[in-house]
Amino acid sequence: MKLANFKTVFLSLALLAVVLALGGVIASSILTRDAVFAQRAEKLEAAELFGDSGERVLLGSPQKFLALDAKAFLEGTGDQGAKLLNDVYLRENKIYPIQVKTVEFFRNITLLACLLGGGLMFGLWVLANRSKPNQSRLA
Amino acid sequence: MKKQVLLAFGALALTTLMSARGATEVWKVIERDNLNIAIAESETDVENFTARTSKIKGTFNFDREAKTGTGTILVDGATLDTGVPLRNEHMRSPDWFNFDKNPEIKFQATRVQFMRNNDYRITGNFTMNGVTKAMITVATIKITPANAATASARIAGDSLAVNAKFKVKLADYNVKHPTISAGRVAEQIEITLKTIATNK
Repeated sequence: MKLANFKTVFLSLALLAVVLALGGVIASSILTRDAVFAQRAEKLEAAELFGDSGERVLLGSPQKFLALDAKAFLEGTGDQGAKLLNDVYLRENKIYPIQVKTVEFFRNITLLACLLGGGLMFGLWVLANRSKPNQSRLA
Repeated sequence: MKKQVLLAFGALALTTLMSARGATEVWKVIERDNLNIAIAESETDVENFTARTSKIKGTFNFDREAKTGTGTILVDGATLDTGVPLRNEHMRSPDWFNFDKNPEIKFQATRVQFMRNNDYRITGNFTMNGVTKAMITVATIKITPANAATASARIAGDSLAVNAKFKVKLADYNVKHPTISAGRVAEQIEITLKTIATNK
């Protein structure tokens, strides 16, 4: 079995990898286009007794989240000017906000896989072009 | 005469010592959801996630004049909520924190040293997953004498607000899982604890 017989397969897979990589980049940029820098916060009855300003307790560090329902935001800002995300609203409505870094992580994994897989397929296609195809014994 | 002076000094010293001892008050954590919160955060390149609960109990013996004391805080780990039911279930399982068997996250403060303003250096023992390790942390302790703010929060007496952070290396507490080495869960999590106690 010669490589030359799989030229079309190799080229198709290499092109598919390019399409997937482009698709990944486009999907990621569409998803993260309206990302919001926000921090989860919760109203605590006696926040001022802790010496905190305002009535809110900040939960975790601020992150970039994918676009969210406008009702999920509270007035005011958190650390580094982050918008405040109402944690009670998120929990009550079973909303789990997705972070930009999660999308970017999976985009990068996809790109890496496409780069490796596509590169391999392209290399095989080049090799296949250099070798001669199998000749049928009847021909 | 000399004996009488010595006795007088002795009595004075004893009175001072007793009054100093008497200044230690017992503060009990008010077990109300909207007054207490514990947040654990895992930060990785893939995702940050937080788990939160309000189920906190505890007692402090704190001397507001001497600015020292001891205390115990208990967090119900089985009620920690990450916003993902399946992840909560995993956290409670023996593969992770085993909160179904050992729900208690406990910090026992054995020494409280005043630093500045409301900041204190706290030495104690941290227990999780049935493992106890010595730990030192910095916390803020703020006492508010009964006023309009405490009254509006329906706190009977003075309030003692504790805000502490604990850096917990999971492997130290026998929490080992392939997803930690894969970088999907942080090797070290930060637990922030905010709780209010009262002396009445």
